Amino acid sequence: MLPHLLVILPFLFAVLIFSCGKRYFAARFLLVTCSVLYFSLTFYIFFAVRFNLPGLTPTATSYIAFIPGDTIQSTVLVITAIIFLATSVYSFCILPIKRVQKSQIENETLMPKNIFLGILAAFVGSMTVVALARNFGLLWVAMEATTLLSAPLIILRRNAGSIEAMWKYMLICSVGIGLALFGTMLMAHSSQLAGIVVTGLDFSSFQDTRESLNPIWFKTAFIFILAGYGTKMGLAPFHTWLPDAYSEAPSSVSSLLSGTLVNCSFLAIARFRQIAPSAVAPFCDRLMLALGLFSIAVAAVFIVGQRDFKRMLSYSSVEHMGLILIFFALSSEYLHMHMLFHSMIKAALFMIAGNVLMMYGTRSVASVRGMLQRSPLLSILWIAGILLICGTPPSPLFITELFLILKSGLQLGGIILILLFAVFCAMTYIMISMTMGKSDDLVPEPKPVSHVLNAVPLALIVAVILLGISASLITSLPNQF
Amino acid sequence: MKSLTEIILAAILLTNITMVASSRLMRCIKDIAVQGILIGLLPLAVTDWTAGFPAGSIILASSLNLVVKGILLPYLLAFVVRRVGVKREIEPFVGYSASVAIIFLLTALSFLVTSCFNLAEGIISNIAVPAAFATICTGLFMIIARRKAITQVIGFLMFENGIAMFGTSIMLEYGLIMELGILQDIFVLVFIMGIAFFHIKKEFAHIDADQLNKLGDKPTEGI
Repeated sequence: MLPHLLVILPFLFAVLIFSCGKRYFAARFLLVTCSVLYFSLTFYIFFAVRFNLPGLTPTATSYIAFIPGDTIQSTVLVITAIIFLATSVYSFCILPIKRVQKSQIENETLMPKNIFLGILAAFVGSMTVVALARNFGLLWVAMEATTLLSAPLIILRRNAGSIEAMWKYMLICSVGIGLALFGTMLMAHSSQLAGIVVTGLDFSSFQDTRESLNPIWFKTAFIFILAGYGTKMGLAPFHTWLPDAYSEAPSSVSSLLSGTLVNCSFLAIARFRQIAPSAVAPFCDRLMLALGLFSIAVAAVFIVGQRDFKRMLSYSSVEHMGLILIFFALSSEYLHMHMLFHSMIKAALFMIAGNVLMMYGTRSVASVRGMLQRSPLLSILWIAGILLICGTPPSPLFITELFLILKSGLQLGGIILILLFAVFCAMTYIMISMTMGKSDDLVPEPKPVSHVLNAVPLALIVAVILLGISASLITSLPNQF
Repeated sequence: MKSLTEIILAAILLTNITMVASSRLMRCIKDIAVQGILIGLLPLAVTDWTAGFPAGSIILASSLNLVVKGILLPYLLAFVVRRVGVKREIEPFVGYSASVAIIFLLTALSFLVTSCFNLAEGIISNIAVPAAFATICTGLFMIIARRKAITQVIGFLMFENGIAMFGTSIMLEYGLIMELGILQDIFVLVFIMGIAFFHIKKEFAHIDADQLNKLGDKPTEGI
């Protein structure tokens, strides 16, 4: 019952927000209400599981269910709830400012805000379906719905750049999703060959009969699945839409996409890996390892010398997706921690980048100087965010990445370490060049941004640091090696 | 009904070739409509009519495919083409004769590759799976090799038709998969409307997708 409510809630609010018409304050207020309710409901579900509260009656055949032992599902739900809350509050603060700004920019049309916010809520709803789906068919449909609903969000400010980004996003992701459908069919065929007819592509029935799946067809299926959902996840070499979409989208949307959507796509890949027959499992792991490593390498190459700070953050997402895939291939022990903290930090960073963009009016690294002098709070957040995402202690990502490198052995660990170090150097170089220096001679003069906009990223960064310190205190990592 | 199935599959392969060979957009749209109708007829052709009237899900899937792929989507595409006023593909990345040669090669390759796999019993026809592979490849080729946004959408439709063919040919009992295919059609519908409303009318004076290259990591351009 409760999981169904969690799915219905965002869609219901989407309809309400659409019907707000020109009453933009009401629309914004409804979005925040929706996210607060969503957040509380998610955590109520966890408490309900922990303390046997009423409201959870999982049935084996239902399409949507919350499975208490399913850690990937829980992680994705928690991340979605947190990031949705953060981005809705951020959108609440930023949209009135954008309206004022709009009058200053020529050749640009702004999407009506009630439509934008309504689509945002519906997008979160479709991601909830992805997280809760117990069926490969529904999973695919919901993944497609996320593409459909997130594409209009990119063109909040309709200009040549954002339309180009949306076109690439739509074309590349829909082909990717098509390949994933093909992979799903091949997977169903591999069970058909074994003489098993799984009604309705249900997860648990596949999981029960996984050893009898035809290995060759399953291998083929997994390749298509990895390419298909990997496109949506932003794995190199299928990542080409990602930097364009993230850099052209408004910052609240970039936060939402980079914080939640990528995790949902990962969940889809993880579901297929979970039903791999044990004969094929090593092949799947090797494939994920190779793709993950390649993603990190590509990200490292493009982050070094990057001239656009939002693109830099996008490539950092590609890097972390690679890391998550390697985690999953080797051991899923610290995987969930990595996913959670990466999402929180990345969402905060995209919001900070949005504030910087608003202040300087450019995404070019070379044109941003002297942030520390202009806005100390924003610069401190930017510095903290970049250091945290690179895994500098006390970042929780330090623990997870350390674990990964220790786990992956000398050669692979060494390569990952070198790539991570390159990313660290490049990102801190960009960070320093943006914060230091003098900004007196900049044209146009940087406009200070309201401190309200820094509140949400500040809250996220502080939460990450506190959680990171407590996590490193309770972790048993040093005893393991 | 096996011979009828094979005739339909062969006709789909032929439409692949005519689509790749034609430069006029309206010709391509007519071909994709024909292909959509053939895809819609495929489930009806493979059912055993002597055993009684086919199940409701098959009729539903088939008629939805006929309506959406055979009528609705081509009509929408034709509307967009007329509205925008483009008639033909000019200077594609790969020329027409070269394209036809490549499609022949890809089709032969799909037959070769699928002959290595052992397929389950109950496959509707020996050429069904390779034909599906060939259609998928042709669709992807069209997305890569053509310049206009509309031709890329036609390529995407063809790609999706190939997936639907595969679904029909190997697992008719999966009712849901058919529904998924239809949902993807709705997706394509929105996709086309996206182009029609945002992409073409306002910002660009053209619909050449290869001109959409302003974003990127090029070192020289300012941001």
